[in-house]
Amino acid sequence: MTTAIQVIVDALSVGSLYALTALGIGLIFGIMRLINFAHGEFVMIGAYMLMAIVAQYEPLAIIVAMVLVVVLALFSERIAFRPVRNASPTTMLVTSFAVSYFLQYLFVMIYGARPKGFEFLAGLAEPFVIGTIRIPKLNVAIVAVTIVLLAGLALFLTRSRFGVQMRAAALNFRMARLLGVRADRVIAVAFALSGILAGVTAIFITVQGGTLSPGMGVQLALIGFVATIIGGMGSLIGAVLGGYFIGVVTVLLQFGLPLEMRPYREAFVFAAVILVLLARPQGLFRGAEARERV
Amino acid sequence: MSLLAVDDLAVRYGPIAALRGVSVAVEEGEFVGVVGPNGAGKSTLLFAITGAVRAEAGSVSFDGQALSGLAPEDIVRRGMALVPEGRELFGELTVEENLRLGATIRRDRGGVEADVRAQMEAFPILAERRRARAEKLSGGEQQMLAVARALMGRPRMLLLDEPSLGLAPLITRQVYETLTGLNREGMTILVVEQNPARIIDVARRVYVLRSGRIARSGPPDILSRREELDEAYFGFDEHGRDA
Repeated sequence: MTTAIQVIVDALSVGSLYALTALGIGLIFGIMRLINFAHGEFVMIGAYMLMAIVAQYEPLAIIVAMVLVVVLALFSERIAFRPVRNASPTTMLVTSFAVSYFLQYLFVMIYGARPKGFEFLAGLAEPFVIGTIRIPKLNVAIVAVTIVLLAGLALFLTRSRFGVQMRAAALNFRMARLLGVRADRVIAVAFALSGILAGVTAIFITVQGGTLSPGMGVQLALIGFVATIIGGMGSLIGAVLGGYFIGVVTVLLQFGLPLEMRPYREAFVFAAVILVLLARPQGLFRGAEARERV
Repeated sequence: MSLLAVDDLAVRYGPIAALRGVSVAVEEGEFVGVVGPNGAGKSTLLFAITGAVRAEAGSVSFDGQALSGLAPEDIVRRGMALVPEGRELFGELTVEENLRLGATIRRDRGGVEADVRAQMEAFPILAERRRARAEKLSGGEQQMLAVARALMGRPRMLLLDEPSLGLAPLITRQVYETLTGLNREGMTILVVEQNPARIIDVARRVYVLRSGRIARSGPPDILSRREELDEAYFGFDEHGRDA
């Protein structure tokens, strides 16, 4: 019982981080059909910014790092992705790899390639203790913040005028523009939202891992991308569920695999992904009404 | 001066010339039809006018102002609304969300609310199904929603691409009754159809488009002269390449 609860909380918190990442990638994919692999670097840079500013005051570090990541996301859209907006998906994909590698090696130049230890919000590492159950405060914080972010985003997309315009643009970009939806603005807002999600992910990854390295975002972006595929590309709810699916599988494998197999956990995760895609190539959560956009 | 003046417009998709020097003029308050066989460039013409497709040469002006180089979101703000082929509703959004998206360019909240109510009175089915996903509507209802959505932007001119596509004859007649009603109230209308029979009774002037060129133009009765129409439709080459 105790173990079950701990595994569930673990799965939810790992899944939340993956869901936030998948959502950041899915938001941009939905609107411009760009798979943004540089999302992982947005997270990495957010973490380094926390480290660079933290000496002063932790809440200030959080705010400044978030703002910087959003600015970085907007800036990369403006100078790297906007010029290839109407190019083929392949060109956009290669551009996103270029941005991703550029940012990684920029940070290798500045901070070196070696991982740096960095303790942030150390208080979150302590557990809540209820009887025999010990649940790290961090895990609770991750799940709670994710729920708040998801609810906020859902409200924005369904209740606000601009949110409905964004959904329309994701469904049919050309028609949305023909009705007057401003392409530049919708895309900029998608990047800004994706920056906010990356910034929040950066905070939690930093607290959880305690080490930073320029390559820390690579695996995260890959998992986020895979989660959007599992969810059915183009569906935001699918991306979130895909993130939780991978989180649950990862934690269950961590818990269930024999000790000597655990270093190969990711191989099993991706094997599960392959199985899912063999069975349902359109993604787990994509309804029959979803169609390819022409 | 014409409200819409298309002058020598050329559009190319890679190696394929879709339009090769098309000139069309529509006067304020007119109901003009463009007919032509499949692949003649009818949809391309409407997309080029509204900025969704970039022209290679030629010019489009609306109300005396050149539109070349403007994005679709800027052109719609000048007062032109397109109802594209296949309607292109946002199927996963509700009927009401689709309707309100038509008012994207407007800032007058009160006026928008009044127009939402007015459209729902004009098309009661939209009020009945306002919370339903647009894709759940029947073809005719979807066409009504597409027209209502375009009207929400208070355009001076409506461009429609095959509004009868996939509709039963009775529904087609309803759609055209709506359009003639709008035209009587002063709306300028340019409608593109593959089937000349649809617009022969409603349009004041027609153009016959074939292989990316205007093959004929004049009063609608040119469409009823059988041999002329045959030549215009099936002329020397029906596949957009010059013989």
